[in-house]
Amino acid sequence: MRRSLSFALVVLASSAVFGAILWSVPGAAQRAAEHGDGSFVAWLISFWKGVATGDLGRSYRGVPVHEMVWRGALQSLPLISAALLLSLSSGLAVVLVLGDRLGAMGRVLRALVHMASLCPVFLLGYLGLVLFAVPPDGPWQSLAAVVILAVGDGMLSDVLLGLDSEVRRLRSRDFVQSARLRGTPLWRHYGPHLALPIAQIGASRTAWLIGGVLVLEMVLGIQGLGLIGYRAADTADLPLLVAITVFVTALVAGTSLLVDVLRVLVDPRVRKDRRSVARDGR
Amino acid sequence: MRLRSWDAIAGAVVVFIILGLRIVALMLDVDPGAPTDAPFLGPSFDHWLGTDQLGRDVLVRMVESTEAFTMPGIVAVLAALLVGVPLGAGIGFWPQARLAGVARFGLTIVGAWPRLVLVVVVVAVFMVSVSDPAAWADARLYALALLVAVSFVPQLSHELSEKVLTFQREEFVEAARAHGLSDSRILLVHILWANCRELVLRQCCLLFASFLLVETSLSYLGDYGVPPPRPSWGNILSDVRSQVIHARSLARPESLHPVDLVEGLGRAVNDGAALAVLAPTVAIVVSIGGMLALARHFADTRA
Repeated sequence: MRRSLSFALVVLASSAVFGAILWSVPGAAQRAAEHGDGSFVAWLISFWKGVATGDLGRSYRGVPVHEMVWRGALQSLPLISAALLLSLSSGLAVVLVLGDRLGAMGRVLRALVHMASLCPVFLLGYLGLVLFAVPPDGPWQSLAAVVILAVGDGMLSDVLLGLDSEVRRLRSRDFVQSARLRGTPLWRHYGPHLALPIAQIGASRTAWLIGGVLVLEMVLGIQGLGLIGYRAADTADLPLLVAITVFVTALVAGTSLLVDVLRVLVDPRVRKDRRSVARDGR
Repeated sequence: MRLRSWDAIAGAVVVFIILGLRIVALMLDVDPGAPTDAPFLGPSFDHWLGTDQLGRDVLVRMVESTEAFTMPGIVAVLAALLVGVPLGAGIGFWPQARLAGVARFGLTIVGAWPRLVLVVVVVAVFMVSVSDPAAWADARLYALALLVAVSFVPQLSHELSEKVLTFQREEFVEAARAHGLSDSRILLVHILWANCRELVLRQCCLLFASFLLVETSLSYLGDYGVPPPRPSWGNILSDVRSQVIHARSLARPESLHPVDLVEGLGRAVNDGAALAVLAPTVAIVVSIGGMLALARHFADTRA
């Protein structure tokens, strides 16, 4: 409950900060006044009324803002989630299946993965266009975008390093050693113990992924939130830009809220602590 | 903090190369935007990395590009330190203070903003607000640096406050208190300087790499980074984009015959375009990799 309140406050405060920044653009106040919002506070209140009713007004180009945000989100969110899933699953596969089995070859393979992962997303997109002729639309473009996002900006490297240290820590625990000796399948132990670290790594990379999507959509010409937001920034389209920034902020804050919920569900110690705190409170 | 690992050596080499290139760039008396020869010349003694589509020397532009991120990157690091270290140390040392709670909430808000979104929004506002954006190119670059620093403060403060909080309960801190040492001396000398400097250095390396990534990305995209004809590794890549697009035929299945491939690669290198792609690509990857290696070295030292 406290965490949800904090989430709501973060999103509210972000809308006020971004709104104030954009309100400082010369002419923004006059344009907002033309749309019926005389002061910054009035505009902010009407923005949140719009969020509650699902009607965020019209952008300066006359298109309903919620439609544009929705259209962009339908392009960007699948890319972000698929990239997150691909990066986490391939990282997990490398750490659990390959482990240290391949010796020198495995080390070279890992070094190559880390090196590819060092490339910024825009560079991988550019090389994809130059070397592999990524088409301007269709499933091949989406596939290329997902792979680039899953690897670039240090994504795969971070996931590999994070999972590697978690799995090593888990393997050295007594209960895993005894399970191994008894011949019990290890995935039963790995599952609950790795769920939280995986979620935490995913959540910590979400903000980076959103930045990466913003750049990659412009490089590959994908009509997602990034491209729409970039064009809105170019024309200082206040309603559209605030809606997009608040949406992505809510996405990042929401991901971290989800991880907290998962922590309570997965870790019985956290549940116990919360119960004892509540009892003490009474 | 001696150079004991490969990570440290690789990082130190990259830092020296970047600083060396910056010093060379300061000594060069050449206009990087002026054509010096015919366009798309291959590598030669006069032009080691060939020329680009306007006949400008690619090597000179590569060296001059260090201006776009060296000083602004250092400014970003200093700004983040100036704000992030006192905040993180204060929150960790006085966690129950009301001000610490406010600061923690402020950092949560800033931490929820994706870095590139914040940068694009504020730089866009800046561009619309000034009458002649080209005249404000330097200011824009430093504004970019400050924004990256602001977006990095939550990460730096969070890690530092956690570390300071754990040291609060250590025996040496209690012993120092028993000896009558002031809070500020314990915090500055015994906790921050003696036990947290590797963590801070690690964050500095990560921040510099992050600034390089943001600067090259925005310069590649064109509107909010370094404006042409001033060079940046990002805009060198974007300048030759239309010229090298034909090289994609090299990777098509029908052109994967070894003879075609070698001939195609030779053609691409000879006409200069391939080097104008390869040089910034390698420079970006090596620079970011070097900074991350140095960050990893400081993380290991800390552990």
